[in-house]
Amino acid sequence: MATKKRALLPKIFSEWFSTKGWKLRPYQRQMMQAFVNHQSSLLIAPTGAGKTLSGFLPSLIDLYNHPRSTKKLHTLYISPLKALTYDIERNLYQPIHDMQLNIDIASRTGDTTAYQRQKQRQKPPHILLTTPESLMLMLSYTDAENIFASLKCVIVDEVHSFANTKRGDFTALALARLQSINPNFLRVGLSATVAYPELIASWLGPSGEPCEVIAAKTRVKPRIKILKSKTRMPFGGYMAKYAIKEVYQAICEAGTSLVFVNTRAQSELIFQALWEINDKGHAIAIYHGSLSKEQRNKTENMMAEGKLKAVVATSALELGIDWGDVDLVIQMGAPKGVSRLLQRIGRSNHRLNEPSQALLVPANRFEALECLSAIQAIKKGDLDGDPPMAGSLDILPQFILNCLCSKPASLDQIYAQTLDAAPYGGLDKPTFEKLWAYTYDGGYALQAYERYQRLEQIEADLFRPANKRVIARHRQNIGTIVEAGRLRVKRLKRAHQGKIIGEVEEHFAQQLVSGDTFFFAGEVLQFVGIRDMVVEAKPGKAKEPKIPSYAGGQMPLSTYLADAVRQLLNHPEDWQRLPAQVREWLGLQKAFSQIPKVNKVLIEQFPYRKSQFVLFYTFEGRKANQTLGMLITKRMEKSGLHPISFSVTDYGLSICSVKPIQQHHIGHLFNPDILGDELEDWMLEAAMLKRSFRRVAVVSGLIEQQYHSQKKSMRQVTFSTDLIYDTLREYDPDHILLKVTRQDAERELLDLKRTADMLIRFDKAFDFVSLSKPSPLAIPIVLDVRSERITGAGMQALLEHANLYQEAENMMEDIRATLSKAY
Amino acid sequence: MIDEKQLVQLVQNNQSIPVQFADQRLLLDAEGVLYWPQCDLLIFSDLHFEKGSFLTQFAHPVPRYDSIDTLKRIQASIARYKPSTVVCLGDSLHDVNAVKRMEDRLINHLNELISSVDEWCWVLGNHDPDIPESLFGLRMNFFTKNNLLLVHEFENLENHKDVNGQIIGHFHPKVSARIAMQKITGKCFLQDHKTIVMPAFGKYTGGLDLKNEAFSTILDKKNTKNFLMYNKKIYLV
Repeated sequence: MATKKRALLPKIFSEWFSTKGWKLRPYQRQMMQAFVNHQSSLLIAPTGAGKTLSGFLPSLIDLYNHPRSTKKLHTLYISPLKALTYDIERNLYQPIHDMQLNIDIASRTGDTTAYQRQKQRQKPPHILLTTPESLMLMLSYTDAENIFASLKCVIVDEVHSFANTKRGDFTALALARLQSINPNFLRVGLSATVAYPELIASWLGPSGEPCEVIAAKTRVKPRIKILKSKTRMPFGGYMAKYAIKEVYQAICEAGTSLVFVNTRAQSELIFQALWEINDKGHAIAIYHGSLSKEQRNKTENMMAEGKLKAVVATSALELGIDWGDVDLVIQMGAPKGVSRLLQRIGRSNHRLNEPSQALLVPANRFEALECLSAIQAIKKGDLDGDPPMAGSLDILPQFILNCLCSKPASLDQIYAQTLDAAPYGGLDKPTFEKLWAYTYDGGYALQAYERYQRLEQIEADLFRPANKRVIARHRQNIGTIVEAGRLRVKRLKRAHQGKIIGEVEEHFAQQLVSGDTFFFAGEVLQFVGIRDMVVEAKPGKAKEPKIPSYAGGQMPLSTYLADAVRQLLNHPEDWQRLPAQVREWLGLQKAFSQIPKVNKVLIEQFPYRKSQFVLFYTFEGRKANQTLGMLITKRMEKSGLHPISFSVTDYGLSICSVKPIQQHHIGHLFNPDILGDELEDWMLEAAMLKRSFRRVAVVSGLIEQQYHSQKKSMRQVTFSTDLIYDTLREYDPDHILLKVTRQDAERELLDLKRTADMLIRFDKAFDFVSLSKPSPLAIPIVLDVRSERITGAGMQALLEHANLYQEAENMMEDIRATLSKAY
Repeated sequence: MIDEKQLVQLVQNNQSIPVQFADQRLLLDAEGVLYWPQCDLLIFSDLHFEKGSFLTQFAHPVPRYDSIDTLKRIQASIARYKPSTVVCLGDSLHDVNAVKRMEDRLINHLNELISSVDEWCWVLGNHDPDIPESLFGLRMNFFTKNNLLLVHEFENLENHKDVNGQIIGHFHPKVSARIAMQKITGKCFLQDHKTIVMPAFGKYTGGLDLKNEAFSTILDKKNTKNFLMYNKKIYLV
């Protein structure tokens, strides 16, 4: 046994471990063993368990045991975040430097300069750290086979974040392509604790064959408390600013804290509020994805050096970056999911055998219910997670083109490689053929000319991109994530000169007028203007600015939690664990309206803000509520109830209309037969589908996002894709992109099955309450402003009301006269 | 010429709005066309035929159904107003090679429409300085009648005798209105005392927001009316 140990861990490594005061952990040994046995493996470990080192250890040892004279790629590390690759590069440098290993590391992301890329292509490092997008780009090079021929190992970090995302599908395809180039490399996955490790294992394994799961022992359960604030907790809103003093107090008492928030806007607000009361002058920093790379690096370094007392952060920080010793995690606003909460809490206390400390600060009273439900779930050891979904189709044209850019191939060859990626294992050939035809020449039914093709047939069964322009255009548009249009923010020192400090969404920038103020990068900025796609702003003096409303980081609640909240509502004996204010709020709801029951849907109707509202408490999660909203409003439109818009939360659906909904309407509206034949048509007309189409259009290469490194304004893209969508529906209804759009909507927005189940389960089982104003329970929901517009009679009714035209009658007389003269 | 009853119907349904402009009565239609009853004349602007196939040349695989759709809507508007004269206000073709790429059956269809009216005038624009012979109809740089100038781009009226108003295209205007806390955006007609700017009619045509500086150079902003087109209806907002 002892000899085997020594064989696994060379002396120089074991010495390094002891100088660090570390011991080799059992799962680290298992990972090394798997590598030696040439087995792919998936490590499941809580954050802070030395996961990353465990992933790299086998590669470092292999490179030490078998030194490579010539520079050849040995290990490829794929991370979901650019920031993570820098962090890992820094952390890896340490052991390599300490042990004087002759190992080269380099990272390659979208930020890598063309010069460095060229260098890396000529002399690849031993270990290359990269992102899925950069990997795909490398795979499109004609020398891809050469670059990856020597590859021995691929490490995929934070694998759990890839599950069920387009980015994950994209990564799986990239791995399948690598497999076809070099069938012998090993896969190593690193994942946080998840509900279904075996699903991730089959995602990672070649051809859907699950790889070996190695689990680190879960440590003691975390200690989580809900903040019981003495200040009044608001009914609505998502900021949790009311508790700022108590949060500050908690920060003061702990060593180092991480304050997690749910949106970027919230991070700005909370950061500002903390500084306003920071009379002890503690070092508190801010961290979110909109800040510039330099700003984020600075914060990361300060945190690593232990110079910060607290950091206010969004989910950008959830993934792996090592933050040194964190004693307390504060979650402002509801955690939105059990796994997510655990992940965040895992950032605290990297000593494995002590419990993590966490403090939850619900932003409104509904969220207090969510917090308590999440705590109860963690105690029971329940995790939430979704079952796997079929791979997203819009990535495939991109993939096909990517493969052909590297080397000519046949349809069958690429189809076989696609099937090798786990999410695409069930893809049928006719669908693939249609996607191929789309890649070839657009695949339109009415195609008069064959002149404009993206692919060119060079032999009976061999295709390549038609010209250089096609290749260049493809390479510039690689990627799957369609972001809202972004503008960079420049902090001015003098006229038009200053530093770029981050980015905001285009629509936010466009609503600003000169002189407006907003929070950004932790200070109040005054908007000056937009110049050359850059928002120019100078430091402002105002105290109460407009808050950035950038959309980043809004997250849906897991369906598991939504249901847990419904259960909690129906168990008043558990309520005593809620803050007193929340209990009082539930009491008010009971008196004013009703508490939603488990076996019935509560429906409330009330006037609010010049319109009529109806609210369905379904507790079925956002997607099901969205689907229901689309179906019900369509039927309302037909019945002349003039719906204007609807908005959904995880708990319910709220519909705004010109005319009030009465009890007798409900039987007709909330009825399983709305799922009938017209469903398909209704769905295809909805504005939401157009949004899906927009994503699909960009991802599948129909519309480009980037060309000649100049970003096309997102607004322009929006406009043209809506038109294209309508055109396709009318002239080419069987076109593959419409099918792809449908699939995308079902992945991202809709849940037909759950909606159908709900409608059947609650058929005629509802409580209808007509109220004079929003109920206590309704307030958090109607205050949510993100709503879905309905194109139709509702808006027309408003327009007619607002139409300034009065002269029509007089004018008509004149025109009648003209016409009758002519006759 | 449209009959009186149908016209009343259109106005009552908000599908058409009558306006007074430079001593003339005009109808702004929710489909984005302008009808001039006194001259029995119908105006289309910025058709941009074959923009789809133009884009496909640059490896954008967009569907090329825009010309079919634009034609279909032209036909419907002609059927609605039954004009004796049609004026296309420039940028009718997206580029100089547009007709070469146009399918024969579409060219034939367009020529049938041209022949179905007494007079068809192509006012030339910046995208189509020249219109190939294969299309019927008259070519001209501008069109004047009853003191009105019909031209693609804004002109200084002092250069034209006896003209007190102009109807132009080129800008593709659109506008956003805020009503009962809801925002509505759509293509629009703009009108001040001396100028009417027509919306673009072609399928794949985008819009330029009214807030854009370009409009302040040609319109008297304070006295500009916006006629917003939304879901096949038109409103003054």
